[in-house]
Amino acid sequence: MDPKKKTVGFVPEHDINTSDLPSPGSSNNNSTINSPVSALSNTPDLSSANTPLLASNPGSSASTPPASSTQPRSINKSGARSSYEPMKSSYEEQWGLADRASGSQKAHKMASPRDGSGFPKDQQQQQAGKQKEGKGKRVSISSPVISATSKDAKSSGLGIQGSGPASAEASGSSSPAQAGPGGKGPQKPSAPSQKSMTKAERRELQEKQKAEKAARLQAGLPASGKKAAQVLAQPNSGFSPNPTKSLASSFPGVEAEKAIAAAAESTSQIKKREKLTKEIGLFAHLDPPKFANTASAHKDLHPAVVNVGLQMAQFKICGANARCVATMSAFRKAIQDYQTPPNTTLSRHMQTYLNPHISYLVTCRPMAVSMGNAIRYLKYEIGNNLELPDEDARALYLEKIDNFIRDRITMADQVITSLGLNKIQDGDVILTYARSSVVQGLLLAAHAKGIKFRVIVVDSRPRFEGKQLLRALASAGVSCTYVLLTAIGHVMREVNKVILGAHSLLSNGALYSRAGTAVVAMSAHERKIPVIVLCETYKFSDRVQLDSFVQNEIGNPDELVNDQNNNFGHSSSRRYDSVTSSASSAAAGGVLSGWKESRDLKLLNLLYDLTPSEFVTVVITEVGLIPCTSVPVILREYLPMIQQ
Amino acid sequence: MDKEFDVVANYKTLLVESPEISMPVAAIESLVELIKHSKATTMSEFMLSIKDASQRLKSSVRNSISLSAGCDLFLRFVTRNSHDVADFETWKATLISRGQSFVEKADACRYKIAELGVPFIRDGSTVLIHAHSRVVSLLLQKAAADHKRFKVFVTESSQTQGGIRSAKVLRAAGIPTTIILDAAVGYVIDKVDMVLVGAEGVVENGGLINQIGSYQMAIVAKAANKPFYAVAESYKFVRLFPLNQYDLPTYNADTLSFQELNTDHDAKSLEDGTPSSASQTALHLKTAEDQTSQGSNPLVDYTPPNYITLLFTDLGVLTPSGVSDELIKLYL
Amino acid sequence: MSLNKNELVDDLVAKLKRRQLVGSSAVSQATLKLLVVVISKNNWSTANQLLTLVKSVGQKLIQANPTELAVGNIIRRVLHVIREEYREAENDKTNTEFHHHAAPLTTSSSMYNLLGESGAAQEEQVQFSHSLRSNIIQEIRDIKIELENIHENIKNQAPLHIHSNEIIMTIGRSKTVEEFLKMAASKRKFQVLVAETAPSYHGQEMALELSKAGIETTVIPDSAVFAVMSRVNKVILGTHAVLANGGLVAISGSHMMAAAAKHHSIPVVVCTGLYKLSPLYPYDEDSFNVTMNPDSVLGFEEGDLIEKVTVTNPYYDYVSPDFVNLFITNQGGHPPSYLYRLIVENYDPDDQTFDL
Repeated sequence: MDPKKKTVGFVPEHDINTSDLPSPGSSNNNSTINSPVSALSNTPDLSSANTPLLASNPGSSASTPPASSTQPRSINKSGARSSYEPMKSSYEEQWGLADRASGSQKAHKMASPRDGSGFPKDQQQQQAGKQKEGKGKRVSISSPVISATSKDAKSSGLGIQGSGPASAEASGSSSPAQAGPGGKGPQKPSAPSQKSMTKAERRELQEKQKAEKAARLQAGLPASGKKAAQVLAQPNSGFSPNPTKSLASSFPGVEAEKAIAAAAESTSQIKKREKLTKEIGLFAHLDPPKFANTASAHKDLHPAVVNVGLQMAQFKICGANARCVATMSAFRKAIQDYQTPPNTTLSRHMQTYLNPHISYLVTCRPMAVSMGNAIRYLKYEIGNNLELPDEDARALYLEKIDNFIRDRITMADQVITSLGLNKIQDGDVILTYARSSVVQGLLLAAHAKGIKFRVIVVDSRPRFEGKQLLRALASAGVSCTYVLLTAIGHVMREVNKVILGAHSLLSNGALYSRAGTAVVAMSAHERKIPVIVLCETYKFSDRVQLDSFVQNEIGNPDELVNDQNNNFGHSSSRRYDSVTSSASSAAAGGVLSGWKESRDLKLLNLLYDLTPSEFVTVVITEVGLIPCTSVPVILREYLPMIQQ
Repeated sequence: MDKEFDVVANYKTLLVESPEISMPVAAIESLVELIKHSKATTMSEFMLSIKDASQRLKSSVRNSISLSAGCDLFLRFVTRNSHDVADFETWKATLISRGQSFVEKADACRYKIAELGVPFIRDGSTVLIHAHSRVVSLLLQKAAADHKRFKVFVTESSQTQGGIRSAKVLRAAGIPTTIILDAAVGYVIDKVDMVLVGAEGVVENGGLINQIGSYQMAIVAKAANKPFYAVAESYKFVRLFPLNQYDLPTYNADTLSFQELNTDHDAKSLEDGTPSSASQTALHLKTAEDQTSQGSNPLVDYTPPNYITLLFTDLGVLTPSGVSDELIKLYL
Repeated sequence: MSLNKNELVDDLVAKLKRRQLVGSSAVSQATLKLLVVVISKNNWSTANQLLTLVKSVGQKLIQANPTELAVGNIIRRVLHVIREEYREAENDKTNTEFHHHAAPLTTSSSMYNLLGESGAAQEEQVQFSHSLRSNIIQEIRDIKIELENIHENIKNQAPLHIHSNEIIMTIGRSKTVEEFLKMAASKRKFQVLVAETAPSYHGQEMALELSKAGIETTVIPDSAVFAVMSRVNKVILGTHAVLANGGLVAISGSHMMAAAAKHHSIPVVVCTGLYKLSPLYPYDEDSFNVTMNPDSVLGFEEGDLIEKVTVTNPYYDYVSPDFVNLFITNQGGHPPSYLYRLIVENYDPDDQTFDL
């Protein structure tokens, strides 16, 4: 590992901010985009963990306007992503990292005087710190950029957003040997010369380099400057630099002028870029799919948290309860192993310590409501007990975490099970969808109690989560039927109850759960079959949402390709009702294996959906059976009490 | 001579003699009898006498929708064929023979309908029927004879005792039948697989006129997403287009009227809330049944076509929109 | 000579039984070809004989594959053609009986005939003539041409129904819908969302074809159908068969898509040729369904699970007529309530079941 790149032990808040997050993702996004530079694969590359958080960031500017924490995040460096309306879909904002705003000011102060904060006075580190800081700044530049360009780019009703970030900077200047995405450390050859530059100059250079790289990517060139130069050198390469237009007035500085000078990106070019990047216009406001990586994990994160993050990203831990428990347990370990740095107390520093962990988890997968509520509770407890001595505080936090898991999850599940047992009778035919841990618990308990019922498990692509549930039930001896979601019209006639799990219940009574839940609930509602939802109160959210677009999670589109990896070797079955079947379907690679090369083909892997409240008959929580429209009542009345 | 041929009396006799006959068929048969006895010598006289007779028939019976349908059909037939008449007597003879063959075939209609409807009764299903309808009973009997296993709920329909009659007939055929209160239709609807009713008349838009309670059942069936089938012979298609319940010819102002308080006794005792001994006899609180027999509770209601899934007729299984097609063809 | 004819019939029967010949279009064309041979090569002198002949062939074919409704439709079409030709031939002969003038106006199912004589007896009397035979064969050839041009007629209506910047959703793979969308794409710019239709994954094939034609296509998993429906402008479905009440027998997953569309008040359009219209009613939802190999749902890799659970893989779905807003057929666009008319025009009520 490059010694120059030794990272700081405790990274100040402002350095770990949203801007970092897309970059690891972006490095992986490149692999899904037709960029030749897909040096990084999607697999977590532990070797790259050696490199600091900035791995994919070739440079960052620093002199630009201060980060404003309310800026929407998730700008992909490659320029592939667009940002969007200033809606707070940023999970950090929601889940308590919003004190980044004050944090960034604090961090500025912290950075210089306190060496106790763990900042070695090494200039390299400082530079590294500045780089991080600069990256953060980059975000704020970008968002005005986006809104400006989106106005221009508004040609189709499909919400094509403007181009990504800071590609404003003229791509004309080709900079030497810029670090490629991910996997490589930041500045290599240029680093020595940076020593001689002032801080401001360094920042400028880094920002410029970063912008150039972004512009290159946007134009479809390889990210690395060398390779891009090669491509451009070839005649008939067909590439022309197309930087974003009119970033102009939104930000001051050198970059602005360059931006103004930059040619406008025409609508068709935007469209082309969108096609290149396979971004779905309808969901442009959401984060792009995330992939497992440790590139964003610097070595000062507690390994337990890194572990959990990786497991979540690979869907080895999935499900609201599982993720929450895993997260809380990991935090528990982190708190246990935590050593208070000098000149501060544990209670005062704890939040700062935890925030990078939280950010890292968000980079692995967007924050689940359950996790978010748990973290918020933890922070609330931390904030409430600032005056405690260190060891007492630590013990308190551990106890609170344990209690939370015990009371709000484990015991709650037991209460829900006992309440739910009243609703299952002999002779019932129960339908459930995908895999909910609470539903599994209830069905197993009912079976153990001796109630005679049978279960229909409905499952769907691409995750086939229902198979786990099926296995658990079948091993326990429950009589089960297994179908895919398309057969729901066919099986629903035999069913007399539907029991579903939830990711979250929203304040307008809607159910936010695994994609496909809405289809199941709608089919049951059609036949007047009661729909029972099992949901612990800690999953209630005060968000309101009307449809599945406002907030959602987009998964890895490659999961939809029906190939060996995804479908256990099943190629699509021979067409029953047609003599001809397309030759490609017989290919082991699956019909869509060439989707990235196809100009007009996109894949959308949506992970959640919203079920309107009228489809849900009753919600069973640990405080009793409630209609789903009573969620805000519970939030108002019960939660303060429960929290004590 | 026999201008005194009393078509109404003949009609009533027919109904008594053959209980299985339906009203429109009896009406047509009476009209055929009238033709036999008619001494008219000119075309116009003849037509007038037929028209007059059918008017009398219609007004003699209170619930005359199906009767009207039958009469109108016969009239239409006569009118249509009155054009190329070579010989009056031959024509009369033809009318008589046609009419008689129709009456004979009318029975066969029911069997045809039963055959069409039987496949819709699935093994293991539960059927909800309304009061007593001969065609429905026939259909269910045929299904039972075809070795289908099914159960039947029938509404009591106490004023006509229709439910009890149906239950008797069905139980005799070996079908497990349960009589339910009319008010319990909403309660049982989730247990049934389909609803089957007969018809007094089928109107132009495919809507149904049937014994009171049918509309309610149709609404409940629609809310519960259960199919609602109506069974009707094609001679019950009538050229009416009701806009709502109250647009029927059977409607009169007395229906469902609010009773006046008769005596001061009543008024006083009602104020006190204490029934005086005198008022106990004086208070003629009419029960619904009393009201029905005195014409102030309706006997039939109208079910709009969007509640009806399919109609089983001897012309085939029709959707409600297909009915108007048939009517147009006839009356064109 | 007759041996050859029987061989042909048996050959087709075998193909249908072994499911070597599947797909409404292919089956219809094969059946028509066979019927032409049967009619032209057999000896018959009266209408009844001919009808009986065709019905017997029809019975065999339908028994070979009862869920392939197209066979029955074609047989009924041909029977209808035969009856019509006879009626016309009969009406050419002058007739003084007064009820006959009504015959061409009304079909045999008219209420009017309640009081008239039944027309069945008349078929007996007309002798066949060569012109009659060739007329019938000609009519059948016309039907054949109509079948071949189905896609042409349907897709020409595409620009009427699809407009700029619309988002269309579809499921499964239907050649008719594919042609429809491709034709629209040549004149308009729009997007298509295709549900991948597990476990057959026909949706994926459809998406591939559409994208090759330059239409902006997105593949979504079936679970996302309700989620994205609020942004969709139209749902366009293909179907295996259309039943007499307007209901559809379409690929598994169509029901949930149509129901989701209804919930969001999105119009559902069905593109189908008239040869798929069957005069049969769905006695229950599964009358015409088939179940497929469950291996594609739960494969043998999950061996330990398979012995403990039941797996169902229905191929078709029944879509109730309430969910369908419009049928686009080779004869134009019709609402579901009009189908009875098309049935009356193309089939005879006596042919519901082929009882001889």
